[in-house]
Amino acid sequence: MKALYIPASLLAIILAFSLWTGRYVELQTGGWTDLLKQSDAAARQENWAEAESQLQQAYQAWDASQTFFHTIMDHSDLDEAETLFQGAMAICDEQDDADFHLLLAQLMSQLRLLAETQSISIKNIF
Amino acid sequence: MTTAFFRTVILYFILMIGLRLMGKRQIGELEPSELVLTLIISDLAAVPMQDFGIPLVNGLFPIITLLCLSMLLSFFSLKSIRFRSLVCGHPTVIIRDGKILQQNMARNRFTVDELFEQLRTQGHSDLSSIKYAILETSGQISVLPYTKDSPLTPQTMNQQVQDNVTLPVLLINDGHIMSHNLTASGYDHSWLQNQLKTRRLTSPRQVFLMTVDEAGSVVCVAKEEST
Repeated sequence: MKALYIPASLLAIILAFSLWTGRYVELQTGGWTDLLKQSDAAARQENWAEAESQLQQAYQAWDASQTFFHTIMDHSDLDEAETLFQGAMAICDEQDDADFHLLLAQLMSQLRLLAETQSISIKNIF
Repeated sequence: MTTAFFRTVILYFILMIGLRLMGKRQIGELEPSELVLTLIISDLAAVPMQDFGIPLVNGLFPIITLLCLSMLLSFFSLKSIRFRSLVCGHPTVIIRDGKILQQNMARNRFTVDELFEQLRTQGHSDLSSIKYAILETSGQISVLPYTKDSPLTPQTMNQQVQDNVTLPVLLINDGHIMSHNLTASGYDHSWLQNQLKTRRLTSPRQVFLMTVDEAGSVVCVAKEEST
């Protein structure tokens, strides 16, 4: 029965890990998106110090997860989000309202796409 | 470059373990499912080996999943004849009493050229000498000629012969003593030293090959002098 249990257990472990990964990425990106939304709202109220603080928090949390994210996701998708983060922080320094909103929107969209790549859906499977 | 090195090492060992689990069959003898598995696995391994933008687990997980599925398929094939027949197919008779069964050939998309190629490979040129030819699931043909066309054996001649087939056991392999084989054959190192001495050899390192069979016959091939 070892010939049955070992491969079946391995398959179960891989499936469980994949499901957990999908959920973990969804939660993480959701948290960062919330911070980015708060940063966006603060910028709309011309509270740039608060906007920068929220953005920094989001970036630090993002940066801390990069090792694990690089082991499970396409690196080019992560690099794109990293570039958007850097761009948003630079624009935040300049306090350019219009560009900041645009970059945050792009960044949130990219984070949503990252979560989507790991989720189990008909769209992804087929 | 370091990434490429480590990824290659990891994938190589995973593939070696996987292929070892698949068994010892050669490519030409693989069942259809095993051939598909081998082709997909080699492709899956190559992608993360070359493209560093793709995580290693994107290659590893599908490989491990495929190997697990293959092992499960083998398990269920062993347990169920119907399942085995579904996965591996079943042998088909394509020549019976010297007559080609064209429907069976068409059903297996087996051409006349392929049939004659395999018959020639096995030394059969005359269809009328073949009682049965069976297309095996591996794609090979097993040919059973009529008794009158089969090779002559002592049994068909009603001759009694002494059975002198013995299994030689390797005692020295390219200078290295196979201690387990030596003990299993009922000999020890002093016996081995005596054998070497009688052949004017002083050390096992001078021996390329030494075997002993069940009857106690020793074959010893000394190493050639390196030029």
